[in-house]
Amino acid sequence: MRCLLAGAFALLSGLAAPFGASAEPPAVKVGCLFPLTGPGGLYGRDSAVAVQMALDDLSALAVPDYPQLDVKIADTRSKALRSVQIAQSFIEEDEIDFLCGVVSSSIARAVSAKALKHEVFFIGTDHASPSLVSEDLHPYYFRVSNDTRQSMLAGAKYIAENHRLADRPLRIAFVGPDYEYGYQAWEDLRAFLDQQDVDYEVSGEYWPKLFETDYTLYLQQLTASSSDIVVSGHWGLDLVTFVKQAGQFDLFEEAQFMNFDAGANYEIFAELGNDMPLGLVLSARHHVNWPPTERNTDFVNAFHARAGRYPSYAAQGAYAGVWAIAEAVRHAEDPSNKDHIRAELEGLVLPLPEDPKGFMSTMDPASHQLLQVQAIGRTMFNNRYPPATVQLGDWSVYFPPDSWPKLNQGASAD
Amino acid sequence: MQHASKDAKNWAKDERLKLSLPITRLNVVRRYLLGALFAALIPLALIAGLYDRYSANLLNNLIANRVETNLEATAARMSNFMAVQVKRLENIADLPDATDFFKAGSKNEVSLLLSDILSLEAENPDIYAIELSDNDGTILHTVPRTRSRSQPPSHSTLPLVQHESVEVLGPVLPDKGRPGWFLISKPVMVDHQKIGTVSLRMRLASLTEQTGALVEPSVFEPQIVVFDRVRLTPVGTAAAPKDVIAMSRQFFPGWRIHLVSGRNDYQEPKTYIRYLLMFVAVLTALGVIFLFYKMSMRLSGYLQPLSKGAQAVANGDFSVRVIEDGPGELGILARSYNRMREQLGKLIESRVEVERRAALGSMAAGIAHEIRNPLTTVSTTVHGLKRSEEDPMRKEMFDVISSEIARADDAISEFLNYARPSDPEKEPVSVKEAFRTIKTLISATAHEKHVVISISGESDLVLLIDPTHFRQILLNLMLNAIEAMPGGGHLTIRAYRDSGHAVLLIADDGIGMDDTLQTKIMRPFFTTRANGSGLGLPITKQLVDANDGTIAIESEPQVGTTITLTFPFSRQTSGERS
Repeated sequence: MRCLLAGAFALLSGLAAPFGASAEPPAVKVGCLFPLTGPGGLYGRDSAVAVQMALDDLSALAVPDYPQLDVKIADTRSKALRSVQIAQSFIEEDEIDFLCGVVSSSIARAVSAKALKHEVFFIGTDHASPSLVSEDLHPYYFRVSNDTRQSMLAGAKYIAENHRLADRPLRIAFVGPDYEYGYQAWEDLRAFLDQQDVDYEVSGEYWPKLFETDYTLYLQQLTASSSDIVVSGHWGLDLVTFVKQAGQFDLFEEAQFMNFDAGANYEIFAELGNDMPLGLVLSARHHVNWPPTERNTDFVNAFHARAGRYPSYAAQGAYAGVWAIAEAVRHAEDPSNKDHIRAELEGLVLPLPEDPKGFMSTMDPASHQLLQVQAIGRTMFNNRYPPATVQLGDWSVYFPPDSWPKLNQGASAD
Repeated sequence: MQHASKDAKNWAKDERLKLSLPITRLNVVRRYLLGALFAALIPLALIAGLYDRYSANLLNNLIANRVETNLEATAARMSNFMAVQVKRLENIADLPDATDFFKAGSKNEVSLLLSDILSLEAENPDIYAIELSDNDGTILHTVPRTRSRSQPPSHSTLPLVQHESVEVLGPVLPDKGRPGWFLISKPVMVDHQKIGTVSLRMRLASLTEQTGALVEPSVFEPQIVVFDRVRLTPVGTAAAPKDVIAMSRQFFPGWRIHLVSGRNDYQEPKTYIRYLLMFVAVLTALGVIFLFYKMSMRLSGYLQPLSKGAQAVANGDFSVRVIEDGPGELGILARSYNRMREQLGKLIESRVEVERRAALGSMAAGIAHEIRNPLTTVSTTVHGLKRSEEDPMRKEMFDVISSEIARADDAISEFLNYARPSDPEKEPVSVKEAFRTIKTLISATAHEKHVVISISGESDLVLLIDPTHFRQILLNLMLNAIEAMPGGGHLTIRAYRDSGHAVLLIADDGIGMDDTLQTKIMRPFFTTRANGSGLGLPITKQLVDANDGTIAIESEPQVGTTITLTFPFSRQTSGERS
């Protein structure tokens, strides 16, 4: 089945190999930074599996003009300084052509700065802060999965369509991790709610630490805030911990809980099992059960066959990252010319497993942000993907705008 | 004399009143029960009052006993948190690379070592950024770079604390989707000259979260208060002023923790429970009062008849019988009282009878001596005068005198018989023979009065009795019966055995007697006939008693009278029968 998947790339990029390619080109060196241990370690491990899947798919292709990729993966342990030092080492010692990966947005910003300094391409696969494609944007940075701005745009549309109140403003509280990713998510959601003319008021803003283990104080504040909607910006184990503890405070009975960026990550469902409440409004950058296409089903099953578990959305990002590099290098007139590579990346169109039928992920040349569909659903019983017993259903699908949405916000990250 | 009689009546009335008052009002039972009631109610009221006072002050007690200790411990923890940050800041400011950075002036370059150290420190989640500023306050370098501030906040509007070698600016409250923070700054000195400042931009919530242990949202919650101007919640957001319950010492100059009233979720249920307990206490008190009242009524119901009975006995009335169905000792007391009353009545009656008989004996002796002897003399003299009298008319007059003397002598004999009865000489007497003899004696009288006599019963019945007494008993009763039938009637005599005794019934269908008359007929000298002596029935009863028998009278006006006699069997006869 993966042959079919690879075949789709081959069809897109043209079956004919360039003439005169007699000499074997040097392998393209890629240095990926993922947390393989510690907080977020599962994201890194899933990414590593997906990278290997992509490499295997590339090798399996009968098309000879795809470049040889030499991918190195290093464990960042979710540490900023360590990540920067690894990136430095990749650039100076390994002389890599591409940096890739990074889960945390704050680390990604530091690595992105390093990439700019050394004029090395950085293909972001998993982090989602809009800062990287706006204020931090530079010619060497590209991101191949939706960011929080795109998921918040979809979230704002969902709230506008389903939760408007006739008699009073909607009371919305936000709780998210205390770093750029959370700030941007909340800022973007408010901006898009304004754009959608949603009558709302902020009933609370709360910023627990990233990797917090006790949300009691914040849950007390949230339950006392009399909110109609609580939007969460948490991801990973933070969200698992929060949901477990929130159940003891009856938060889900008192307010509609939503998480548009990472809430429906398969990892969350698997970790929570039967503790995952039903009726939550969630989304993620990839779903194991959506879109219901053959490509997505093949990707999910192939990952499961390889890893023994179903993939988190990080896997899809890493898979897309490898393919993006391969496609850019393959189509670049002169792969050693960074301008050519950039031009290919800016015009990138990737048919990815997470794309619904009739749609392909497309790079926005202005922001270097890949534009993908965002699907939002409600949690409901589904034991087809154990150990998770809940998946999303009742889908609301939001196609991306023609270009990455820019907002006139003067805020700078603290 | 009349006046004295009135006083006596009033005294008797007062005495009755005195005796009756305790029964109807505060008798002993009610007093004891009332005492017990107060003994039960006073502790109940005390406990209810103390509990109410305790629950009303529950919040204060909690704070006084437990929370104040935690408050001080939290203040110490926050003080330590600030000290750790100051120490961290001092370590950075004292680095030679930091000094070199500021010395470089306009060419400020952060060395790789300093950059790595600052990056490492900035990875601490409690620190948003580390800033290096010149003497004018211009930020020269921020780590991480992505957390640079565009403009420093105005010093004039933020709280500023100078403490030892550091300066704390803030807190800056959360705003526009960004969390709150505060700045700890330390100058970098060279030769006592300030060449720059190193600052830690601290996560405000990392400090305020230290008060998490103090949160009891339903009762109270902590606020971090800075110079009484800024109030913060435990998650670092702005807090509204509330009633302050307690406050800590300053954990940093100008910074302290206040404990303020919480949502007070417990107040309503606490008040509800408080009122519920008070209601239950009142209900219990009413229940106890009702129970004691019912017990008082019930006990009084048993004791009042006893008291009344005792008063009746005191007044010489032995006829008042009390109900014996009281529980336990009360029933025993009632039964004992009744036995005591009966035995006392019999004792007094017996004593009176003895004294009466003694008086009658003395009187009889006097009559015998003072009347009978002169009558004997008169009778003898009249008899002599009659023999020597020739005049028939006078002889007849002497006969009348003799007859009247004989009648008076008979009356005296009868009285003497009653006053000094002869002791019985018991022997077996055939009832059948006795009945036959009596019938012969009275048949002429009966015939004259149109009375039909019928005798029935067991013919072989033999009594152990004085035959003379038995004959006189039967004669008296049968003559009385004939007298009771002035228009004629039926006199029935029957004898039979019953429960080891011989029973003799003498029944007539004469005029009968009412209850009042029945109570009087046994009294000596009481008679309803003009020529009766009033001693017939008393003597009869006396003879019956003397022969170990009993006499009972049942009578109904215009229906008749039945007199029942019981006597013991003759042993000889009984043995023969058996």
